[in-house]
Amino acid sequence: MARNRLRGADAAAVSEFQNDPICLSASGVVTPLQPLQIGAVALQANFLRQPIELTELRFLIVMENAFGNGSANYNFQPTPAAYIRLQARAGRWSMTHSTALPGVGSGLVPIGCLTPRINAAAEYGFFPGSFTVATGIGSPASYCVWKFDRPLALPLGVAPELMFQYVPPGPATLPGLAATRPIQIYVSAVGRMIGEMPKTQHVPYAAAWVPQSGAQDTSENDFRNLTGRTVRFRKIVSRPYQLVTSTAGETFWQEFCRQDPNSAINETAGTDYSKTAKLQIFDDMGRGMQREPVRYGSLFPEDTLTLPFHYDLEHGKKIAVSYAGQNIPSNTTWMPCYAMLGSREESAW
Amino acid sequence: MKIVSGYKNAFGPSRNFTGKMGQFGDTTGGDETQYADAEDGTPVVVDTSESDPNDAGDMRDAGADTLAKGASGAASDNGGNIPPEYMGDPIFLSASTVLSSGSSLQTPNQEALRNPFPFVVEVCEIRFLLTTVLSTTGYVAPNPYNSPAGNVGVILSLSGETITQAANGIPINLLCPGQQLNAESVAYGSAAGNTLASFVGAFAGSYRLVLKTPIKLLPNELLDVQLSSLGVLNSSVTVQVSYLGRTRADLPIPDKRVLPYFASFNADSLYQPTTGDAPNVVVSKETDLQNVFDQSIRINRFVGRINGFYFTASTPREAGAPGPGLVGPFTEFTDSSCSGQINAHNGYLPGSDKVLCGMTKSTGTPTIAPNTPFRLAFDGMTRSWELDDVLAPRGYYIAQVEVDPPSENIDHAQAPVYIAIGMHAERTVAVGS
Repeated sequence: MARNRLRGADAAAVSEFQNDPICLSASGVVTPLQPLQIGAVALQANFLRQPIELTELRFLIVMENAFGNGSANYNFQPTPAAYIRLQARAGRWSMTHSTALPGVGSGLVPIGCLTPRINAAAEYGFFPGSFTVATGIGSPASYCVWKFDRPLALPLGVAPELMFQYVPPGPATLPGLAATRPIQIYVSAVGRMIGEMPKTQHVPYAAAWVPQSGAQDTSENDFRNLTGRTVRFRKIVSRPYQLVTSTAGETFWQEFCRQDPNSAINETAGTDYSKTAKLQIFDDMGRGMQREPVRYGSLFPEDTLTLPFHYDLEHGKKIAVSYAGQNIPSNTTWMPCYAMLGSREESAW
Repeated sequence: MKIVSGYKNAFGPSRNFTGKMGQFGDTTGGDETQYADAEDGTPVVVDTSESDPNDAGDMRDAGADTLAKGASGAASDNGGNIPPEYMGDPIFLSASTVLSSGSSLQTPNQEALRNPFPFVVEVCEIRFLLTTVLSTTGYVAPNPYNSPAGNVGVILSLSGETITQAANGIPINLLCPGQQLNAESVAYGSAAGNTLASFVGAFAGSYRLVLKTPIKLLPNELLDVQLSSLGVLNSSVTVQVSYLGRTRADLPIPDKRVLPYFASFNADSLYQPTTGDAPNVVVSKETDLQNVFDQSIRINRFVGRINGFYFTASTPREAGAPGPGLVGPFTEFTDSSCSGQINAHNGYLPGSDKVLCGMTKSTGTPTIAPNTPFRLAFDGMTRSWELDDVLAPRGYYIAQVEVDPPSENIDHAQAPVYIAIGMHAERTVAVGS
């Protein structure tokens, strides 16, 4: 329990608020040309009288009115999370890391990879059967949450600095009217107020890898720890996005999910990424952590899309992933995304 | 005197505990333990094994020691025969009743839910199974997440102690956070094709409340439960209530125990306004999410649900015409992407980005920032927010919920949404107060 060093009336006033739960929120729009930045001011953390300790970040990504009245029939719906990348910082400490996203910059993590799959229907929703716009879904949405391994303590008036970028993975476009509209992003930071800052901080950390055509293995720096501290990784989350073409003739990214009766399951051999892709993980010394490449569907089971991965990675060291399979990413019909999630310990703020 | 012979620990005989002198012993107390009454009538463990009764005397908790020695404190040669890892035997008490639309309070079979043992029993979990049958063709959306749990109220009490706050009870889906949203409600039956067509079948909803602290039931005590219809039920609902827990014959009759407390705020039906109009806003009263006691309570969870109606196939809602008269199943919007769903039968259902909330504590402390999407305050996967807070005597939370208009004027029929927030807490009460 954090001690309260204030005295007298101040102590009484502060102790009344200590440990009170808090849910901060902010929202904005993101377009291909304009990333969205959300920080302490937007989250209104500056009006709080106490330091806070955050346990998770929640995101709602909405393609508002992607399908308007009178539009054509659709039999698939996009997964908005496939289009959004997140860069996060807590003061001077980076919370995200990535390099293999050409033309976009580093530190951007596919937002869907921040959480294991729990319930696909609730995460992004799907409806059986085809639907017409006049009677069907109007605004697809994705729900994502980043639960921290350890709470992140932030001093008075400070909140994570978040930047959302719409990364248009070609050749897909946004469906229907959404192609001309921004994507709405809603964020909430959940935690509690605390009496005083702890002596050490646990900073959440996510390192991402998105295989690109011609670069199917991780690069030298994809999963290299450049934080100056040992990062304690706990899991690897993967989201397999696939390119689908609707009855209206539009193509967009959708998360592949066998629970979804409309998910574009192509059972033809060689085209189902989860069946044909194989991965092998190596440590910094080049030692394989598996005896041989393992099928994607075994590493990342359908119900969680998560590989438990307890590994303390020292500064300067890296984890390498080798891809041993076919059709990804060269045929551009699949976009698997990966993120290693963990935390590191930093000195006092 | 009651003796239960041949009593066997749920985990079998215990092995390899460490005694006072660090020795390892082998107790077979789980195999042959019997129960008898002490001199004052309290249950006493009588061990008929050959284990050294002095072993592990300091490994057991005080409750077990007291029990072994008898409530009078008289020493017996039975001390040390209850293994430290004793967790009791599992118990399952269950009863059901049928609830009709507009019916008054219904009570399941009380005797089936009463603690049948002459010793303490802990209730760790409460489960509800709801089943409805559509006897005639009725309309249901192809998205089969329909459950009347939002319209069945539960009133709980224990020996006169209040557990649920509302006079008509707390909706089941506010008592229970979402465990597996897909499995909370399922529909089975036949559908005419995979489109928006008539559906003949039934629904089943399975809800589960795992108590943060088990409720200790005294011998022959009843955790009283009553059920009520909170509004429109499309058809009769069979509700099965089950208590899951374990026996704790090792515990003495407690002087005090921890009881849960549930309160709720149910916003009136909100229609999504037309584009350009002001949002529809409802603010809770001080008496909704309130600590009604003269003692502090510990808040451990909020549950938030968005419920709505579906129309019947034969009477679709006219475009732009809000109003009552809905007959379809009352259900919760499960999908996050149920955002702006336009449907000839359902009308326009506002979704995740159009339902907003905020919450403030009676101390003035902000709890949920204003205009926070409802699904981001109450986790989209579990419909709940797990937390740890203390609410002072007579303290309360004020919640504000609103439904925003769509950004475009879509030709739609308006369907009402019912936004509900449940508050879960605990308090310590004296037994027999």
